[in-house]
Amino acid sequence: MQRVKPDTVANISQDFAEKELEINQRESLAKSLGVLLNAIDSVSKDLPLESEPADFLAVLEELSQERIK
Amino acid sequence: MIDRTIIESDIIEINKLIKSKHLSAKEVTQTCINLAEKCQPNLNCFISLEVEDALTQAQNLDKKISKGEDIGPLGGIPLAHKDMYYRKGQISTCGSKIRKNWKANTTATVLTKLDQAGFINMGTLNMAEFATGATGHNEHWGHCRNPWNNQYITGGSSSGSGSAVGSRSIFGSLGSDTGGSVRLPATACGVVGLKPTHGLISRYGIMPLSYSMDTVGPLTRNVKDNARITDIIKGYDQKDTTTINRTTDSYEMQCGLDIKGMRIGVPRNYYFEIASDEIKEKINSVLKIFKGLGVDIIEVTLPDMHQITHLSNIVFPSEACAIHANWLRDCRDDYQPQVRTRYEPGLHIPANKYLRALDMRPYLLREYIEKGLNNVDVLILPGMPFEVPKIDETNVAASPKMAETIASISWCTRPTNYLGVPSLSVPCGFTSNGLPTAFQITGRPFSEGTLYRFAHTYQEVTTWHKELPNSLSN
Repeated sequence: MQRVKPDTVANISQDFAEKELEINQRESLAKSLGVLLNAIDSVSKDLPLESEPADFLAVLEELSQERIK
Repeated sequence: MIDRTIIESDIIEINKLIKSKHLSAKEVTQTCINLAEKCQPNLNCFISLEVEDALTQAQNLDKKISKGEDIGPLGGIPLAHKDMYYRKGQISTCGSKIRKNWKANTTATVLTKLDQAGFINMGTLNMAEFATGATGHNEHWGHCRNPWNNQYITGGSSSGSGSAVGSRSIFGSLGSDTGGSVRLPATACGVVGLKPTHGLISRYGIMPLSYSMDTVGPLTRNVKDNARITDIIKGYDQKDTTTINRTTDSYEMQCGLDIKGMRIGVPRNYYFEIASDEIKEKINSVLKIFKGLGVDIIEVTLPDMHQITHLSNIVFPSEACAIHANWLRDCRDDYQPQVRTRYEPGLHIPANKYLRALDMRPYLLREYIEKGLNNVDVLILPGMPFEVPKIDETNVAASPKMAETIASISWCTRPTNYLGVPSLSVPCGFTSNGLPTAFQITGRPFSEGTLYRFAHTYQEVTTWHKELPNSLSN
C-alpha cells in the first residue's frame, strides 16, 4: 500500500495555499514523500531513543581528530 | 601587459604587486571593470555592477599605500558576492522577485571581515532564486551563462560567482552551499570552490535556506587564494551560535606542505554509480597524479549514501518551507515554479520525521567517518558526475523531470551538507564538449587545512586552473 496518499497531499496543499494540485503532481509528490519517510524509518529503526537531540557541533569537533594510523 | 598580468594572476600575487606599488589598486579595478562590462551581455553574471564605488574604493586604497599604511591581505583585490550577503542599507535581491527592492538592516559578519581585509566591492552577483537551483537558471534576473561557452549551464546556485570568477572579471567571490551550490558552479566554470565544515564560518547576515545545511564558501582562481579568503572569514561569531570556537592553523600556510606518504580513499559505492566514462577517466588521471606524488590510494566502502541523500531531502524542504511559508501562501506566483516545487514537500513532512532526520546526523556522520576515513586522510570524489549540460537541456522548470535532473547534477555534492564535513572542488581538465570538470576532495570535520594541502600540491604539478576561456586567450 502506498504510504502517502495523493488525496492527503492534495488536501494539505489546498488548505495551505488554496491551490489545487494537478493529479500527476499529487501522485508524484505522494510517491517521493513515501520514499523519504520510508528512508528515515529504515535508518533510525535500530538506534536508541535519545532524551535530547544530539549535539551535532560537539560530534563534529570530536570526529575532527586525524585518522587512526 | 597590465591586463594580461591581472587576467592570469591571482589574489596573492596581485595583492603583493599593489603593496609594492608595481600596480595600483585603480589599475587592477579598472581592468576588472572592463572585463566585467565586456562579459556581462554574454554571461549575465552581475545583478549590479558598482563601477563608481569600486573606483572610489580603489583610489582610497592607493592613497593609503602612498601614506605607507597597510592595506590588508585582500587590499586592492576586486571581489563580488552572491546577492544574498546583506549589507546594511543596500538591496539584496536573493535572486528573487519577492526581494527585488528589499534593503538589508544589517551587514553579514563575513562581509565585515572581508571589508577589514581591504577588498574592492565590484557589486552583486546573479544566483538561483533564493539559492535554490543546481543549474543557474533564473527567470527573474535572466539565466547566468558559462564563461567557457555561454550555451552551457554555470551550475548553481552560486551561478554568478562561478561565472564571474571563471571569466576573470573578479578574483574571488562568496557563494553559499546547501547541497552543492558552491562546488557545482566551481566545477562547471573551472574555478576552485569550498564547502566548509558546518560551524567553521559565520552565516550571520546571509539569506537562510536550510539552517542545518547552509554554509558560506569562497570561489577563487586557485587553491591558495581560496585558503587566504577562508582564513579571513573563518571563526567563531557570537551572532551565529552554530559557529564553533576552535583554533585552526593558517590554511594558506598549509599550502605547500608535503603530502608524501599520506592516503587517499576512493569510494567503491555510490559516487561513481551514475558517473560517465569521461568523468571516471578524469578522476583516474587525478589519482595517478597523486600516486606519482607518493600518496597511497585505497578503495573504501562508505555507508548507504542513498539513505543520507534521502535524509537531506527531508531536512531541506522542511526548513526551507518553514522560512518561506508566509510567502508561499501570500505570493505563491512570485516564485519560479521549480523553486516553489522544491519547498512545498516541506508542508507534508511530519515534524517527528524532520526531527528524527536531524537526530540521525551524528550517528550517520560517525558511521561515515569510521567506514570511509578511519584509514585514509581524504576522499576523492567527482564534482559533477557527468559533462556540464547545456542550458536548453536543463530547462525542466517544474516538470516531472525536474527532481531527477536536480538529483543527478547534485549527486556527488548533496550528502556532504547533511554530514557537515568539508569538501573542496578543484578543476581537473576538460571534457569532450570543451567544458571544465573537477574533482572534490573531502575529509573529516575541520580538515580544511588538509584539503588545501592536497589540492595545492595538485595545482603545483598541473595547469588546469591556469587555462582561460577562449574570449580571454591571446
